[in-house]
Amino acid sequence: MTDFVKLLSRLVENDVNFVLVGGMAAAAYGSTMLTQDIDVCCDFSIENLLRLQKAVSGLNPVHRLSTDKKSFDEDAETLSTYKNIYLDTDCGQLDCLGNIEGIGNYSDVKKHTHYISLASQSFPILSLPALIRSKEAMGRPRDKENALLLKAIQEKQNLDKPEI
Amino acid sequence: MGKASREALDYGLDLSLLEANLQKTPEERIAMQSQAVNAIRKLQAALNKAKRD
Repeated sequence: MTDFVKLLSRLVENDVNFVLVGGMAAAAYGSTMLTQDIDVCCDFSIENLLRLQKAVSGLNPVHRLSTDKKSFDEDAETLSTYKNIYLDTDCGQLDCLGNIEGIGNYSDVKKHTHYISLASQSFPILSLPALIRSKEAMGRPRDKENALLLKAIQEKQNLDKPEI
Repeated sequence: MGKASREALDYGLDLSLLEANLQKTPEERIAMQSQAVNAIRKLQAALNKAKRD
């Protein structure tokens, strides 16, 4: 059963260095577009990928794009070869990306991070302006639509701010 | 209505659900995505079953 809140909570509980990006970040800000997976930008250090393995252990994680649905239980040497990791778990699909279009790698993404509350935990999400920038940089029709929705949300947030 | 909302509407996007969505918390919005995916999976399974029967 898909449970994205549980999946994200596990990442936080296991101290995985990540930032929520993509369609699920857009949904968290209020976009009405449906997304079927979680995209996170990850620190691809071995230590962090081992924490990621621990976070999804017990959820039957497999490499979604491998033909034989290879289990996500590799050793450190194999982990060090990955640039992106596309997983399927019992709680839903999780895509771990090393680079975000229009922003950069994890270190760059981290500079544009906000924290929001989820399941009584604070978790990192790409800031709304940076998310809009990344969606515009992707250039696909679906991303363009999401960027337009996010701009409307941003505008509404600014309009709702009380004047000082 | 602001410029960005006008641009979204002109592109053909439906903003009618946005207002209600913005009243929810991020957690509720993400939970809604989970519910939608689960509903799609159930529908796909039912369609596949119907094809087989």
